Amino acid sequence: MTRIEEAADRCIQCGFCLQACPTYRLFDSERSSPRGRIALVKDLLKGELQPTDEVLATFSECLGCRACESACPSGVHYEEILMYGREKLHDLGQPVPWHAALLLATIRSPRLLALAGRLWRLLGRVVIRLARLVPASSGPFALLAALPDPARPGRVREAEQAEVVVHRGCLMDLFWERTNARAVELLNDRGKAARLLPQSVGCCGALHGHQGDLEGARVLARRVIEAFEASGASTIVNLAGGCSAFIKEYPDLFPDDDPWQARAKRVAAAVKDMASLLAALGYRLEEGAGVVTYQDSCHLRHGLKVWREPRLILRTSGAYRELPSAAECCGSAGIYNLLRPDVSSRILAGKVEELRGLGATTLVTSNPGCELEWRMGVRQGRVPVDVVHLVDHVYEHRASALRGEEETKGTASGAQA
Amino acid sequence: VSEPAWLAVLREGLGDRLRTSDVERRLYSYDATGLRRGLPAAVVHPEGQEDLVFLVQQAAAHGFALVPRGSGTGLSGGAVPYEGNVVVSFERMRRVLSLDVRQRRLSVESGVVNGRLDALLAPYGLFYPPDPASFQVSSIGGNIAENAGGPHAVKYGITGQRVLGLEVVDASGRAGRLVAGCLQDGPDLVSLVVGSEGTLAFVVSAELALAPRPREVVTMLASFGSVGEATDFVSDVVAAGLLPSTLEFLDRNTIVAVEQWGVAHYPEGAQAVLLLEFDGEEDEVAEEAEACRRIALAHRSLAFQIARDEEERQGLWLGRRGSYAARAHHGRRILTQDVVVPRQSLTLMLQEVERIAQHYNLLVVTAGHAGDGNLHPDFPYDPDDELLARRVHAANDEVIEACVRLGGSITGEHGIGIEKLHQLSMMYGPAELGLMAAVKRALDPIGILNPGKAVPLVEREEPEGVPAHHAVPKTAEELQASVLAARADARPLAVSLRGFDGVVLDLPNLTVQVGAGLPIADALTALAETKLTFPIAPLLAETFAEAVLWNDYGPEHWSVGTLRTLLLAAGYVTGRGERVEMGRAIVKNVAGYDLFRLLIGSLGRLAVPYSFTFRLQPRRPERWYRRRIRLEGELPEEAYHAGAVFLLPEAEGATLYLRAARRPGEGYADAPEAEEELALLRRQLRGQDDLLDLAFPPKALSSVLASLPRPPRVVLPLAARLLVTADPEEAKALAGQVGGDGGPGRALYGARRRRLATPAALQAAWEEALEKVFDPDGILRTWFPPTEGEVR
Repeated sequence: MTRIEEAADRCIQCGFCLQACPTYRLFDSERSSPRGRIALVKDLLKGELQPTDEVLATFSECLGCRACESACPSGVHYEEILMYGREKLHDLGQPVPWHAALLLATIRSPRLLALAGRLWRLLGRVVIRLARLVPASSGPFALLAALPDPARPGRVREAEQAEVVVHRGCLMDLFWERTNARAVELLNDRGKAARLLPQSVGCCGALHGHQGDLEGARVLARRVIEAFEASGASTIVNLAGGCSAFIKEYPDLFPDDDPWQARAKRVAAAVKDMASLLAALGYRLEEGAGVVTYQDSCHLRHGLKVWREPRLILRTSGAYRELPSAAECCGSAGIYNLLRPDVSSRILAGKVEELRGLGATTLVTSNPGCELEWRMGVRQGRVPVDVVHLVDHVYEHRASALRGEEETKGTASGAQA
Repeated sequence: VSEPAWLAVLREGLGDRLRTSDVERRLYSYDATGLRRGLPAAVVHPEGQEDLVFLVQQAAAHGFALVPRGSGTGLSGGAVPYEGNVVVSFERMRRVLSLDVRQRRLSVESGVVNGRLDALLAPYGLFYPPDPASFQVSSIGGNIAENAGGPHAVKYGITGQRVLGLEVVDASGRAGRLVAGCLQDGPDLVSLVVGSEGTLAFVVSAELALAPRPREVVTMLASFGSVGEATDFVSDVVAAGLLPSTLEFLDRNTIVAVEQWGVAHYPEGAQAVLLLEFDGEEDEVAEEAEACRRIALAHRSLAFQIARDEEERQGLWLGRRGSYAARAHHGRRILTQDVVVPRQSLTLMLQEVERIAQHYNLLVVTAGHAGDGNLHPDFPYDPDDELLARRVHAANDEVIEACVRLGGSITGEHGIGIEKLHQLSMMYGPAELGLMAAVKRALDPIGILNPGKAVPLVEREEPEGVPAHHAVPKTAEELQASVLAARADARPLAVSLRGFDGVVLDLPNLTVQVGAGLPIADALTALAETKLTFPIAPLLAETFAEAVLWNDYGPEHWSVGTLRTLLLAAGYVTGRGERVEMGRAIVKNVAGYDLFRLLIGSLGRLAVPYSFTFRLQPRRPERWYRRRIRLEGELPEEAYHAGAVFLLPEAEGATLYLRAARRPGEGYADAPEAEEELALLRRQLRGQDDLLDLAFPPKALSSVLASLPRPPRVVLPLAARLLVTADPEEAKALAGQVGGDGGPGRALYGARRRRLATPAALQAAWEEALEKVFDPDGILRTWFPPTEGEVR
C-alpha cells in the first residue's frame, strides 16, 4: 500500500469526527465531513471515482483545522488525506482569487517578502486606514482593516551561540515583526540563548502546501531546513501554530528515498512551540490585567497537541475564563478566509457572539491568522475585547522574575506550615 | 445510464432536498460497519413530516425503498442502502421542540445529536442518560432505531425506556403519535418501533424522559491481574446491592490499544480493568465508592484509582469511549460483537471467547458493559488475508452460539441490521421469526421501509400441536392446546391463568421469572429476605398478567417507570396458536422486534401470556410520610423527588403520601399505613363495574378534577392518573376528555376494563393490523380477565 492508501485505510468510518468538524456542523452533510472526504479519497484511490469538481470541492471546503484528528480514536492522519485532495485540486489548476494569489506569490520569495516588509513599515498605517473605508465584512479589505499598525522592534538582543532559533515566517515577519523580536527577548531573559533566523529564509511553505502546491512548499521547506542546520541550534520555534505544525510535517513532503527526508525529520524533531518554552521557563502573569481568554491555534492543538501550556501560563493571572468553543477553528484557517469568506465568516460569527457573552477583556491566540481573524471579528461585531498574540501578552504582563519566585516560595512555605 | 422516471417526481416535490450526484450517493452508501451493498439511487434530506409522508407515498406508488439514516454510526449496517434504495438522511431535522423541566420531558426531532443535549439540559439540572459510545455524534433517531444502550444503561436503562412518545410516519403514509408509559392506551407500540431499525416507521420526533442530574459523580478505575478476579468483583458489587451508574469492562488488549491512542493512562500490567461510576447525593456516593473499594481490595485489585478532577475523569472515560475505534491499532478491520448473557454467566462467556480465540489462533479484544452482561469481543483482522478473514468469521459464529447457549442475546445494542440477519435464527425459532416477519408484512405490506434489515422475512408456519381444551392449563403446551382447540371450534377462548403460578428467583442476575397467573404479593414474599424487590405496585392488578395486560402501575411510576422498564421477556401463545418465547433474562436485547413489551396494555387481545421475566431492583431504604394538602393545589416540590407519590382525597382536601429516604420537610408525619391504605383500595375497587381509571397529562389535572361527578378515590398526581366511580354516561363524558386526537391518555372502565377513549387514526390502524396478525380469528377478545364462571 502507498502512504496515502495506508492513511485512508486507517479510517474505519466510525464517524466520531463528525461533530468535531466545523464544516459538518455548519452544513450537516456527509460531504462536509472528514469521514466523507476520506471515503471519497478511498474511491479515488480505487479508481472508482474521478477527481471531478464536485469531489474536489469537498477539499476546498475543508478548513484543514485537523480537529478531526484529535477526535479520531483510530489515529487517522487526516492531514495527509487533505494534502492529497488539495494536490489534486492544485493539479487541476483550480483558480485562486487575485488577492490570495498575490499573497502566495509575495511570500514565496524571501526578497519580495523583505520588500513588502519595508513597504509595510512605510505605508501600513495608510493602507489600514484606506481599507477601513471599504464597506466589507469579510475578505481581503476587511482583513487589512483589522491588521495592527506596524510596530518596529527596537534593537533585538540576540545570543551569539543560540540554543533556540526563532523562524520569522512570512506573515509574522511582515505584520508582527515586533512579536518575533519579543519572543527572542523573553527566551534570552530567562537564560535560554535565542536568536532570529535570517530574514532570507522566508516562509515555511505551509500556505502553499495547504493549497496543494507541494512543489512550492518543498522549495521553501528546504530553505528552512538548511537555515536551521546552519544555525547550530537544537530547537526551532515559529510563532505561528500552523507553521510549527507544518514544519513538524516536513518529512511527509519528501518521498522515503529522498535524502531530504532524513534532514526534514531532524528539523521536525527540533520543533517546539513558544507556549511550552515560556511555561518551562516559569513565566507567570501579573494580576489585575483584566479577564483573559484563549483561542487555540488549531494546528498547535490538533497537530502538535499543545493546548494545556498556553492555558497554564494564562491562568497564572488569576483571571482566566475558557471560551467554550476555544478548541474549534475560528474560520481563519490559513488563507481560507480569503478563499471562502462565506463559510469562514459564518463560523467566526458564532464564535464572536460567544465571546461577547463571556465577559473577557483580552483574547489571546498563538497564531497570526487567528489573531487577524479575531481582530476582524471583534471589530465588525463591536465587541470590546483586545486580541493579542500569546508572546505579546506575556511580554506586556509578565510578573517580574523576582516576584514570581517569592510567590512560589511563599506558597511552598505556606503549604509546609 | 438513464435515471428512473420517479426521480423526476421526487425532484419536483423536494427541490434541493433531493440529491442524486454520484458523489452524494457514494457518501451515503456506508455506515460505521464498512459494509457497502451498492449505491443508493438518491439521497434525500427531509426537513419535516411532510417530506416524509411525500416520500412514503411516492415509494409506494413507484416501488422504491427508503433507508433512514441518522449520523451513519451504526454497527450492524442498519443504515446501509442496497443498490437503488433512497437514503433518507435526518441531518436537517435537528430542532429541539420543547422542554418541560417540571415533568422532565424533552421533545426533539429525530436528527438531534445525542451529545448536544447535555449542554442544553445542564442549566436545568437534568440530563438524558442513554450514552452509546457514539453519543457525541449519533442522532436520537438512530439511537431509537437501534435501541442504543451505553455505559449508563446499567442504572438508567436503555433508549427504549426513555422514549415515552413518538411522532411517526408509517409505510402507508399515515402520520401520528404513539405513546407509551403512564398515558399509554393499548399495546406498547412505542417499544415495537424502538429498535425496529426503521423497518416499521420513520420517526419524526421523540418525547424523551429525562433524569435529574446527579449532584455528585465519582469515577473510579479498578484493575486486576486476572479476568476472573475482575468478574468476581463485578458479581460482588452487584450482590452487595450497589447500583453503579457505570460498570465497564476492558481487557488487556483493549488497554493496549487505548494506550497507543495515548489518552487513558490505564495502569500497566493489568489483565482487566473496570471503569465504575456512582452518582447521586454526595454522602451516598462516597459510601458506595468506599464499599466498592473494599470489594476491589478483597479481590486483590492491582490498583484502585479515583478520578480527582474533571480532567482525570474525562481521561478515564476517553479510553472506554474510544476503545472500539482504538482497536484499529490491532488490525486493519475489526469484526465487532455485541453479545449479552445473564450477569452471572459473564465469566463463562469470557472464558468461551478466550477458548474460541485460541482455537482459531486469533487475537481477541474485549470490552463491554459488565453490569449488563453485554460484551464486545472483537476480532481485528486484515481483509486481504483471506484465510484469516475466514477464521475470524468462523470464530464469530461460535461466539454467537456460545452466548445463545448461555441464555443470552446475539445483540445488546448494535442491532441486527444486515450483518446479523442470518444469525437471528440462532437465537429465535421459526415461531418467533415467523411472528416478527408477519408484523413487518402487516405494517409494511409492500416492503418500502428499510427492507432487508432487522428481521428476515421468513414464511410463517402453521402452529403444531393437538387441540385440547384445558380450563386451567398448567403448562405452555396445555395453554397452546387450549388456544388451538378454541381456534378449531371457532369459539372465544376461555382459560384461567392461575395454573401459571411459579416463581424462579435469579438473584445474581437481578431477575425473576414468574408464571403469568402468579399474584404479585407472592413474588414479594419470595423476595422478602433479599436485597432486591419488584418495585412496581399496581393500583388494581393482583396478578402479573393483570399488571402487564392492563399496563397497571402504582405510586412509584415517577421514579421507577411503568412495567415496560422492568419486563425483559415473555412466553405466550398467540391467538393463532403459536407458542413463542420473546426476550431473554437480560436487560439489553435488540435482536429482532420487541414483541414482548407489545403485550403491555394489550388487554389480552394479542396473546395469552404464561410467563414473564422481570428485572429486579435493589430495595431502597425509603419510608412513607404524609401531610394534608389541597386537592387542586400545586404539588409541593418534594413530590418531584420522592420515590413514590399518591393522594387520597377526603371530604376536605387530601392526604399526600410520599415515600422518601428521609423526611421530606416540615409538616410531614410518618405514614406506615400508606401501603395498607393502597391494598385496601385495591380490594375494594378492583372488582367494581362502575370504576373509571383515567390517565392524562398532568397539566390537565385541575380541569379533570373539576369535571368529576364525585371525588376520586385515589390520585397519582404525577402521571396523572385517578380512579373514580362513574355511571356509564358519566364515564363516557369523562373519557371524551382524554386520548385520541385530544392528546395522550386513557380511560379504562369497569371490572373488565373496557377502553373508552378513541385512539388516533394511526394507532387504531396499527392495532387492527396487529390483531389480525396475532389473533386472525378474533378468539382472544373476551378471555381476559377470566371470570371463574366462564372457565369450566
